Amino acid sequence: MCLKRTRIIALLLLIANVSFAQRNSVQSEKDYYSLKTVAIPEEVKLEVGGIAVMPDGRIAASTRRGEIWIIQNAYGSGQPHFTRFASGLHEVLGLAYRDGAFYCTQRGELTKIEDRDGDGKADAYTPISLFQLSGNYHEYAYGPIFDKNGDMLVTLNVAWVGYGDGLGKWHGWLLKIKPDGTQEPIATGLRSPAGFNINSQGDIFYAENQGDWVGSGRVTHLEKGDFAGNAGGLNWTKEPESPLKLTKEDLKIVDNGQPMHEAAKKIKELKLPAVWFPHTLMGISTSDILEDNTSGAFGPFVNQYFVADQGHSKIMRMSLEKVNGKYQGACYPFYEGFASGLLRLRWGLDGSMFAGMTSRGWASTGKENYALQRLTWNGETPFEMKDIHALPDGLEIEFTLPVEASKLKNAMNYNVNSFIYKYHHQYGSPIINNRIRKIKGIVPSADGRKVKLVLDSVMEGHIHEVKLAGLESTDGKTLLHDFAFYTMNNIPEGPQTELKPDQLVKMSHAGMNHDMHMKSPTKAVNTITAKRKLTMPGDWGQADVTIKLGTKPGLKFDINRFEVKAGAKVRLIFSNNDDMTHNVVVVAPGSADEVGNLALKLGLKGAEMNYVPNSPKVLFHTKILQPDEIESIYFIAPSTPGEYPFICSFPGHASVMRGIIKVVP
Amino acid sequence: MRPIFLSLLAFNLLLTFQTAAQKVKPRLKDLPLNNLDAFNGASANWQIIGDIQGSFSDTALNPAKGTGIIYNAYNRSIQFKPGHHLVTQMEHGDVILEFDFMIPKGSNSGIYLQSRYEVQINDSWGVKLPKHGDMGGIYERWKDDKGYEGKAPLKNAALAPGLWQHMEISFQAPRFDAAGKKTTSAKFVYVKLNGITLHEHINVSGPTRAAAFDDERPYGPLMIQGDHGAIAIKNFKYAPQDELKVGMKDITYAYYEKTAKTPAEAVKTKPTSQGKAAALDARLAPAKDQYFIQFEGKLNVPVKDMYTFSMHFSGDGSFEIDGKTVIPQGWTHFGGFPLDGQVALEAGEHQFKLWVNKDINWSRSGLSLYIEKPNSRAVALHAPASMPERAPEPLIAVRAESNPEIIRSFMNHQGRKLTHVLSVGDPSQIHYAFDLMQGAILQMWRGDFLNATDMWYERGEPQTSTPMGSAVVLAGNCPIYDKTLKKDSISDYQYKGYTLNATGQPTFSFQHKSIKITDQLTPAEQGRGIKRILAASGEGKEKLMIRIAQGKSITPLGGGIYNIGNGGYYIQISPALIPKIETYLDQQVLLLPASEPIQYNLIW
Repeated sequence: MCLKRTRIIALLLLIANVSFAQRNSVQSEKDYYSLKTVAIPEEVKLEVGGIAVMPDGRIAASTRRGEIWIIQNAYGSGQPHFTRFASGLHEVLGLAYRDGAFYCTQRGELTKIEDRDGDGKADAYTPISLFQLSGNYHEYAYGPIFDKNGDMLVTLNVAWVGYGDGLGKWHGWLLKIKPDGTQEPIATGLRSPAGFNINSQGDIFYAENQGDWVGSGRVTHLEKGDFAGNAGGLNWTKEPESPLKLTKEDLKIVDNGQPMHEAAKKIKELKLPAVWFPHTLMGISTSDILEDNTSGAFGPFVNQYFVADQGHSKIMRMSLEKVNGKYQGACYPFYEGFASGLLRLRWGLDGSMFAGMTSRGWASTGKENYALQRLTWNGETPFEMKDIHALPDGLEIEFTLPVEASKLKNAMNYNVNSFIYKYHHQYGSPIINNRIRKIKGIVPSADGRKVKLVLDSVMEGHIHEVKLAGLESTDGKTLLHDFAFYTMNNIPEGPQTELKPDQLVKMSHAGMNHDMHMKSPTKAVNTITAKRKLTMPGDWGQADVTIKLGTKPGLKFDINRFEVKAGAKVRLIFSNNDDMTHNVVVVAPGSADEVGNLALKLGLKGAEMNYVPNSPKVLFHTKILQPDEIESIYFIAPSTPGEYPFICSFPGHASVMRGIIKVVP
Repeated sequence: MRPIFLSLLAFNLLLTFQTAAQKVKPRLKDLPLNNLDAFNGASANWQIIGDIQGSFSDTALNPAKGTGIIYNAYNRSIQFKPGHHLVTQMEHGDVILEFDFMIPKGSNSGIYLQSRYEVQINDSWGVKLPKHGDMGGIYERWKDDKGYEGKAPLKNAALAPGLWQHMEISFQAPRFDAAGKKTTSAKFVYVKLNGITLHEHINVSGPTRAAAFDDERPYGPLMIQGDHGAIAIKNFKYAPQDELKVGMKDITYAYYEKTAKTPAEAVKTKPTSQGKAAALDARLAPAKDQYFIQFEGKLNVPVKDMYTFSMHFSGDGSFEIDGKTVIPQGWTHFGGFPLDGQVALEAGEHQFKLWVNKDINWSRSGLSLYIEKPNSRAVALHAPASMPERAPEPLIAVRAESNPEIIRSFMNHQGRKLTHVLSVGDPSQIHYAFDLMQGAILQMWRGDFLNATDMWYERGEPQTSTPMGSAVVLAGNCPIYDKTLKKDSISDYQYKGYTLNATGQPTFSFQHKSIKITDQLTPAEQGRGIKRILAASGEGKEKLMIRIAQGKSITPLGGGIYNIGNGGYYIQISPALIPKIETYLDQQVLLLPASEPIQYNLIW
């Protein structure tokens, strides 16, 4: 606290000392990009699963309810006009338009849809390829994405049976489907591959959600024969067409919580993600991927990627480079505040970005059940970390604007931290190997647009968090976003950076400028505190009241209100029967939002703190529970009667997943 | 005080528990139809028969000798003449009953509860807006030359004449005080026709017009109307629902956090909590996933009789009375069935003991125990909240009001979940569900189209849709017929898509080896059913036989009409065609050659 305040004062003094007028240095995403909403008619349930931008200016959106809507005036020059083009499809989560026909995935097939009589309504539905299903709700199908040969890429979700399993053939796989319907299995290990795309080099990337075998969200480059990590799809490697022979049995030797890059040394098919999107720090459920091929119409991030997040209703940015022939790179915050759960991104004809959304049974930060929005760049360049490159001994950061030289070389302004996740069959992972990286040297470029950070060591296979503070562009802007995560699968070879004396960082720097989440990690996950008592206090005899709490789909507790007497001995049993992780945090009256927001800001330490902030407003809490896990806590109800909220403080859940304990006299 | 023990104040009081008849399946007994003994002086028009056939276009039914069916051989000469109704020996008060019935075209009958309160039976096939005089209506009362209090059914759930239909009624008799003055009107708790609930909690202030009696009584015989039209009835089952008053007291419980295979094993450890309990209540076991709980106490039954106990929970459990096992240790859960057992009890107090070992975490925690005796309704012996209620879900209905609507979903069919199912709804209120993997009609129905709640509410985990009208369920077989197959599934019948005609109705395409098949389904004329045209082209079609229907039996009715599955539905083909009827896997199939396009109607 003290350090921070000092720094703010220092900053103010600094600004005051500059004689010419500064621009407003309070940055907002909305200063650079505008979010516009396409108004949806009352009767249309546009739970968007796919978007296709048609060459004549119309936009097509496919929906969960099996419809394809064609929207005119989606660019905002008039009232948007919706026409139902097709219907009767089974949950269309991907849509493409090519040579006058639509192509979409339904749960059970890849379908071509045509309007043969030209009346504006589909009249021919032709299956190109059928998918086998077990009848599980979690067996989603996504795509198609056309490759340059006109073949179609499709991904199939694993079923959820308490864990992810590929029950129907090729579920958990990326398939290439020829126009004649032939299915060519490309890669497996996919869990929930809602977003994937082909980049301008013809390489395929897919985005994955945290889950079993998946410690955190991530984007992986898929090549033939790759295994991306989730075991469910391995059911089908016995098929003769399978490009890999790996089995679930083979995975047992690495199912022990070691980092994924260690497991990959033993399992040669295991593909490391090009970029990890740390869970809750970036998003919670990565969805679509879109490469910026707008030639600058969408801003300064040409040839980089945008990655959407369903649960957090936001878009993140991703930069890639190749090191030792393999993709790796960094992710950055980009734009938040979308209306619903983001699933699909597509470029409009004017270089604006269409964003299709649905939240349905998985609540999202954006509260609408569904939405269609469009993001446009207003022409001004935000001050951002534009890119991060790996160096043999550190990281090079590139900025969108030249940086004020004195700040660029100031070691106080940089923090680097390395960490990784466990690879195991459990759902998600805590952050492990969390270490502060000491900065040994700083080498700014002559033009002020780049800086090399030479580190004490570069951690192979680890995520490197880069957190900046105090940098300012030469035209007076502060950074719009001050952190990023670089995934260091490979360390480039080459000479060490030669540091001149003025580029050396005095070792006393380390730790000076680190805010709370940079402190060395503590093992809090299983720490029992006064706020989390797991055994009945010896003097109780028995609890006065036992509260059994479970969950309901849609991010809800199964009970949202109950009464206890002030001072009662309470046993609270939380049984997490959902398919996501949750906790229960009882907070002081009126502080549900405050504690929820504090939990969001815990950063890297969130997971190990059970997403429970260190606040007097937190009264009692459980740990973060895995799906199907149970925890009982014991506490004495507050002596002051009132309405005490309880929330799940897992980032993104608190705004909807809450209830009230009414303490009565 | 601690909320959970508040009701200890009521301890030692004789408790009469809320009845919950709908929650436990009534123990129905048969009304014997092998002779006329069950009836009180049946007039000559009522006959015991063994089989009966009808057709949608025929005003008469065609009975055959045998037993098991009661049939009104109605003819014009007895129209509106007294003395032709059928009255049971059995007299009932509160009762649940169900039966199958068949009427010919244009017929009219009715079932009178206590010979006084009528549920109408009428040929209302195809009626769009049913009135109280239509099938399933509560028929009107009569006063001052005017009808009143008639209640139209919620929907027209009637099938075509000549098909077997199914009626379920729960009736509550009027109540009287000691002086014989009526205190509560008679009530239809529910009336269901062909699986559709038509009425719920309809009070009837007095006897229907044309009732057998003007007065009202606690008991009365059932009566079937005989002077208006023919009717056949079979599978008549009923369960009297007399009130049973049972007391419980001195209930204690012991709850263990750890599971145990037997009570003997459980008592080796100290209970996590124990004490007096106001009622049998699963909430006394606070862990939801795993626990052991035991209850003991006293039960007071009013009379000596044979009592049936029925118990539902998740895991293992058992129930005993006076040290004797009534429900032996058994395993169940809330996706399965309750366990039950019978015991003869003297009037008065009995000691009971019950335990549950919940060792499965995937089924909810809950406990129910019902007691019933012959002619009584089941009475819950557990606290109402001991069984968790399912959260209500809003209805998400798909309607086909101005154009056909198509919905693809998973669908349950004869115990299997099919994954490539397409349902087609038509504004003519003729709807069907179609399996794309076998090219088969799965079910067909009238009225409202489709309930998609389980697909589109929240995450849609079942991902199934269900018909909103009375569905006729078909065998669901592929039109391709291969009698050499032991399992009836055609693996090389490939779905090739569908096109929509100008009005939006689909024609499906399939490929079978070198043969291409188109399958066009449209509503038949006059809303009678579905017209299907199957056309094969390509090499080998001359040798191919197309299966147009399959059922337990196939009966030619003449004129190109076939009755499928003994009153299930009709197939209508050109009278000029002579189809082949074969036996296959204990069923019969109706076959036509594929050499020419095959056109037929499915009528129900």
